[in-house]
Amino acid sequence: MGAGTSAVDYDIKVFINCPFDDFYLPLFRATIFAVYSCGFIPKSSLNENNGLDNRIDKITRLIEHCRYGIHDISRTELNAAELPRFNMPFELGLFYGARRYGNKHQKKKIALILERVKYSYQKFLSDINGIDIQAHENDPYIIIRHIRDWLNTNAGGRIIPGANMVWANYLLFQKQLPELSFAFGYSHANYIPFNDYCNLVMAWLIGTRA
Amino acid sequence: MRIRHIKLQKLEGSVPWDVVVEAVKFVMEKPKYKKQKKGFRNIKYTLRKES
Repeated sequence: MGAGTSAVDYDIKVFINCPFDDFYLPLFRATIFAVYSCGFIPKSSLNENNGLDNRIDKITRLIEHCRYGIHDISRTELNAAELPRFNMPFELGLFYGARRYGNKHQKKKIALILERVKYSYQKFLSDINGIDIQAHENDPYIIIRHIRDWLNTNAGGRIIPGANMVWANYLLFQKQLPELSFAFGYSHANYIPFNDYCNLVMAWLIGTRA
Repeated sequence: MRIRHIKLQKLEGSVPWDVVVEAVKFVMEKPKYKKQKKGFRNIKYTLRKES
């Protein structure tokens, strides 16, 4: 926890460490919806856009301010240039290091590590053998269920809705999203920036009370 | 039944919050969606007051 972050804020912020490519977008959006539905705040390097800010400084600051972390290390395969992508495992390492070497607040850090297929991480990140890692199989329902169950386990008595209810609402939100995007001023839902998408999810949840 | 509150915190987006709320209301209040509206029976989402 650093300057400008209260203890309350720290305990509800979730650092999202995942790819930002179009292929991953359905999982990323499902993640954001699940985190908000459980009453937490997703934080990502997409939150801020300051040309003067060094990228690694931004990431370390985000990690410092978030008690929880969701790390998807499934996208380590070769990219178009036939090079592997190390950003997600690297940021997982930073998160782990903060917990290992940080102050008493940092030592409270809790992580959910995700991969696509169970145990595939052992082929490229064997140092984390023995840690419980969940597979999402590129399925938004599975990722929502993992996130909800993980937050429920670690939320310290906080009220959290059931996974099936979060999923039912997500499906309804997805159904309305094209119209919401249009009413929101965007021609396509995929063009909505991170912060605006977060506000849209929040406004929808607040309005969805039965 | 006791209602539990989940407080959410709005972000600095490029679209003003009022516009977001209006857009959501406009779509959610369409008859085709109104019938499908679901809610967590004992959970109410509210906006956190800005500090």
